[in-house]
Amino acid sequence: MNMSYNVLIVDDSKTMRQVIKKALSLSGFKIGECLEAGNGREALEVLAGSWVDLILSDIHMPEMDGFGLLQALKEDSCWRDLPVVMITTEANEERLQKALALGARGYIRKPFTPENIRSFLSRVMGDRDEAPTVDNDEGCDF
Amino acid sequence: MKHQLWTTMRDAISNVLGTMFFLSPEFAEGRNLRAFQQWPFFLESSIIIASKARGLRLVFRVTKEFAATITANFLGVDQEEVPLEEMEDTLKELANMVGGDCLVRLPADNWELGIPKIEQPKADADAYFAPEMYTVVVSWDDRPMAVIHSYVDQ
Repeated sequence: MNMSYNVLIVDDSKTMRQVIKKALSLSGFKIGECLEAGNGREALEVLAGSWVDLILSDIHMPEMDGFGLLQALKEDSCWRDLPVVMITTEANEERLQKALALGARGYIRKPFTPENIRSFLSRVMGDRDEAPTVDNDEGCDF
Repeated sequence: MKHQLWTTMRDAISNVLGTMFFLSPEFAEGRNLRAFQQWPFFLESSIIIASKARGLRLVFRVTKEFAATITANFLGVDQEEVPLEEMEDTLKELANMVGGDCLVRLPADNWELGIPKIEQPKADADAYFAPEMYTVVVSWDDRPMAVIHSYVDQ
């Protein structure tokens, strides 16, 4: 695929948002516009006014966390099929499975490299037309 | 279990510093390592990892050079241009990622990662020393840069 993707990065750390943005640019993954939000609620506000192809989201955030964002997207017919990948330090398997059950396409654990990002996102966006599945390979644990 | 926690912490620090901050520092480690008590520590971050049975608290005390270097490497900017706010944010992310990396390596026990905090280092170095403390000293070019203490609560 040669198309470029508009990506929304959701993390309460401005520094981490910049790091993810940098990793995306270094990864070779084709980025159109890179948007940012500090929590799930801000992410929904961004989505109300911008076209987004992919969301990279932290789990632990104030106001509306990653689970809240996933739930809100699931309930909205406009965004139900929007790919969401969690980028997180979360290691609790139950919570990671909760994210997958809420519709996340998978997760990338911090710390990560640009290659981790490219490899996982290429797989997620390449399989965009297939229904997401919840299985042991859905996570990305580098 | 305590020895496992200590080796876990060291491996997590090494992995995070290498992967996200592009550093391959030297380590000195041990129990109650009282070296470098008079260091000019610049910033401190901390995080708690807890399960129902036990808790692990990690405290990162760093020099200004360490804070500026990891922030510059993290963001891909010049070390001279790094403001305090970004150094603080980076230190919190360091604590968050080391804590999270520890969790991946520890035996499953329903661990929860706390919220990282940033604060000024205490002037009294003795305030950091505790009977069950384990310390990792991070250096490069033979210069100590950061001290990471871990405390086990049972």
